[in-house]
Amino acid sequence: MCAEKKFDPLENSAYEAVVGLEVHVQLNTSTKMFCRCENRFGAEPNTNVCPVCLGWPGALPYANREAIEQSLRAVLACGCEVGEFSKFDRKNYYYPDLPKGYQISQYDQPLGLGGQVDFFLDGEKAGVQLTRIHLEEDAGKNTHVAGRPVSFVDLNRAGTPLLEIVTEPDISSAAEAGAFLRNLRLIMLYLGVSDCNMEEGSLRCDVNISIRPKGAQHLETRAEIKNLNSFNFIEKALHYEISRQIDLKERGEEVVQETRLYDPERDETRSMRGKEAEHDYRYFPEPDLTPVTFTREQLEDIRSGLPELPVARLQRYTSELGLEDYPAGLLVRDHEAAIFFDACIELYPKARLVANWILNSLKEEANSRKTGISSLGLEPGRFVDLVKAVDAGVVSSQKGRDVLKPMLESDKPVVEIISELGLEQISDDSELREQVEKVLSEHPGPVEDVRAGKKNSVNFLVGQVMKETRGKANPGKVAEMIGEILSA
Amino acid sequence: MSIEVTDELVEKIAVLSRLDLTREEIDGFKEHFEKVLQYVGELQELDTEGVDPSLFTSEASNVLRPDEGAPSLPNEVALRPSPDSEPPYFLVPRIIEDAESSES
Amino acid sequence: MRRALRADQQDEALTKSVFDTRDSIRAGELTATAAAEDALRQVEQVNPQLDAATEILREEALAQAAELDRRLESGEDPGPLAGVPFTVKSNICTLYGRTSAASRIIENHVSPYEATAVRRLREAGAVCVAKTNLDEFGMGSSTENSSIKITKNPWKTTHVPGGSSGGAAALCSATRGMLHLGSDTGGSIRQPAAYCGVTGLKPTYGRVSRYGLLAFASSLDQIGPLQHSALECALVLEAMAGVDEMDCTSRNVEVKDYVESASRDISGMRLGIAPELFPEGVGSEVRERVEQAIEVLRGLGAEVKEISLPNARYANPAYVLVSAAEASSNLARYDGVHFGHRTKEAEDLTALYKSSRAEGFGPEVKRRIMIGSFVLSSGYYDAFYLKALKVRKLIRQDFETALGEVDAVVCPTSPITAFPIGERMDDPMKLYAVDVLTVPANLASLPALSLPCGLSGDGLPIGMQLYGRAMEDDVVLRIANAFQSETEHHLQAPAVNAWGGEGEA
Repeated sequence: MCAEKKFDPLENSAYEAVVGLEVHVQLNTSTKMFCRCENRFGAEPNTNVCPVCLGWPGALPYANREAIEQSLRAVLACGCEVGEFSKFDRKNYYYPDLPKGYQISQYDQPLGLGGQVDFFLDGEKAGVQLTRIHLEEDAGKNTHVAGRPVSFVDLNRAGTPLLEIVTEPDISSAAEAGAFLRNLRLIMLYLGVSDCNMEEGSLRCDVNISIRPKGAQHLETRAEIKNLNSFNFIEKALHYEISRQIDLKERGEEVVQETRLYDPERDETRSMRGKEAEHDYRYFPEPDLTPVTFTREQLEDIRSGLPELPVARLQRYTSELGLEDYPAGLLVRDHEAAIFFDACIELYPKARLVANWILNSLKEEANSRKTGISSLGLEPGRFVDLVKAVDAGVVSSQKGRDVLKPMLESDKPVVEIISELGLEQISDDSELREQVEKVLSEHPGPVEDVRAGKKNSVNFLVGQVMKETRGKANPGKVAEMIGEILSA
Repeated sequence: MSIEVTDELVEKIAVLSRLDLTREEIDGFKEHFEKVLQYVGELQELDTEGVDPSLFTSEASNVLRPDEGAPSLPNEVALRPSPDSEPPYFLVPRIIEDAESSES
Repeated sequence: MRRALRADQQDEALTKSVFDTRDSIRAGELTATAAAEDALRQVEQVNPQLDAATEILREEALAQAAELDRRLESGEDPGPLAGVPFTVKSNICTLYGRTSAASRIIENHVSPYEATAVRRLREAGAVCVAKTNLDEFGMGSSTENSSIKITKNPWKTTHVPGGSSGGAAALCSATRGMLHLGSDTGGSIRQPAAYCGVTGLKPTYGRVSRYGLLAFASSLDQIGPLQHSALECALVLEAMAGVDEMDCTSRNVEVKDYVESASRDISGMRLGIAPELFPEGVGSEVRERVEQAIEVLRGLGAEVKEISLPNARYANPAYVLVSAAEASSNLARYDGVHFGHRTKEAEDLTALYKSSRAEGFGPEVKRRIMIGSFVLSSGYYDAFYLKALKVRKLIRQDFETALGEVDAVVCPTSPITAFPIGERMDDPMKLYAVDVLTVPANLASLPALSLPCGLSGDGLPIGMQLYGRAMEDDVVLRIANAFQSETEHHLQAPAVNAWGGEGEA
């Protein structure tokens, strides 16, 4: 990647950007929001459908309890106000991926109002206010094929439970938007309510953006950008759009209120064709569903059962456990790693060591298998056994890495694997000394160099001992011994 | 609230309803609409200040189902009532991306 | 068990009730096939004159019956309604025949699933023999809005049978020994029942599952029976009622032994008369017959007192708004995309929608969709829809108060009797007017029943209506049954009938 300084259109500009996001998160319930079709990605088109999600005559919706519970977790985790009463409403419009001709959503009494999501931006703590969070059903998908005047409709996705998270126009840069989104995604992963996979569409984001003179309080005309399906595209689209709007303003032109699409090939946003009609959704309370009500106790129960969220977790890792910012950040950003880490340090409190081992070795293993740490099927106890073994000098750090793969492939205790592979470090000092003396006698040149003060030659000699012992020497001890012998 | 029943209003409603109306139908509807407005205008006589609208038919709330699956329809059955399909898809005339697109 | 039959009846056929059919089959005196044959014969006999059935399912019915006979012969008990034939209004999904809602937009729609209410009847052993005609999507009070044909009233074939369950009412009136399912959103079971001289029940909202009923107005619709007697209605209700895991508005309330409860006596029962439900528009003969009927009930030990429903006159305007609004949304799915009629030529999607729907829907349906879209649209929602919902609340409160003082409210079903075909078609408002006494039950989600209480001077049936408390469907059935044990109005034969009964030609 070339080391280009990213052009920031806002730097030295008379303008500031005002950005609000509308994020859609697909919940990972087993079934859809209002019917019992499987909630899963990637099925053959139109095979995950039933009379209800197909909108057939006479079919009726029936709300999924688990979707509501998952939503409540998200709503409470984001600090929203949850009223004791919430209901569903119909949002009426026509589109081929919307079989009923309306979407069951929430209008004036959503599950959550307000709220705030904190995150770190360039090392500083930042926060974005939310307007609301509500629950609704997803629409199906339309696709096209070049050269044919038709569209293909797949309703598998129709009826999937979707959480819509709307922010206040609180964000002022592409970087901030990216940081907010990444953290929001993490929160959802920690809550276990979504796999937030942008490629599969379980996390989607629309952006509303306008600009105004720096320091101004009012809001100017905004444009909406849709169809952004990666974090990268979101930031790029924002960059482009901010520039575009600043350009317009500087030329004395006005920003048009419209919907635009981001074109990743050209790295630009384009106005969507067609009339920009104000939709009249004719919202009204959904008569086919009952409202949902919650008691204070229920909400307290859920709130107290929430897992530790990313920002709090990061703070605990750095201030309480003493991890450096960088590894702490890496851990937090990989929620499977973080959860595994927490389990490990309960068994062996050497946080930095454990963190290192997870981030360097375990993650590498996971990455090479293109999977997350939890899918490795490794018991934290066994992993801790390995870390302990290294820490105790039973096996060298380097050789310890070789133990990991076999550990994942069998259930054998770690010590057994170490000895089977013959990887134990030489623990007997006299044996070690023998090896060291042998090497020293075979390399008179470097020995002279060491005596002359060349430190690098020590490393060379240590390396030779490691070679001789096929890695089973403890390099630290070897260096010590060399120093001892040669200074005598 | 007094409403002027104009062609413009009727056409706006027809667009919301996705109905193509003939001139005759528009005229007929205007006449009917005015009568309906007059008929329901009586409701304005009733003082409903402070009355909660009746949004639901019973006191029931939280009627929810467990997150358990049931078999879906085979593709062939799902497509059967469709006017035009190319299995496994439903077919419609080419959708031009416009502001009318689906929200997600 | 008391039955609405008289021992001194000469004509055997006239005494044939659903209970007779059921019992004979149970006793092995009648086969399911014979019962189905008889039902089909009856329907086929009257249909050319009445146009009540949209489809007569001869083959399917006989196949079902044959299967039932096989099971009966091998000693199995196929259910409490084994072999009893039934018909279904064409806006209710069945696996047999088409579910067209009498609309061109889905005129050939074969439903791949069946309504819960239908499934429960079939699981009880009943045999589906026909689908019946209706006003398109339930919108109308005469069956003249059917896109298929106009059903005739068996009492006078130049007159309407009422609507929207006109086909069911006419067929019920002209035949014996079978069950009929209709639906009621603003009176669509009760009013045709009154016009055709039969008994029709709109159950409490949520008593019977709506799954498989093509929605017209979701908060108002219910499926219910049309039969010759309240006890027959009770039998059907028992078989269909109960919470359904496919309909979350169906209520989890115990299903009583409705037949038993309806057979009890009514002395001490308090009946309410509200002057607001006897408005000026009620014809004098209608008023007279209903008042006479109330006397009969008094004679049976019921107490009668005056009550007030101060907001009843606002029920119909509120109903017009609420039902149109919900309908406009419920019918949005008929868009020619993945089922139903699609226009042949359409340059783009918008044209596809507008043309398909314009071609597929009849005029009344279009009018109501338009009104509904308007009512919900931005700028008008508060003044119209929300206002209507507030009025609805007041009406509900009125009934709660009144039904705290009495056990049931009595009034006419319709201000008039069956009118001539075509008489009210020039102005839809005239058709809305006949619903004024039935819509309050749908707005208040209460059970309501219509039963015949006499004929007008020109030989047309008059219906009396009973309103009960929520989930007390048995109370209105009981009052009706008590009345029917003392009177014979429900046993009168219309001019067109399938058993050769004497009726006025």
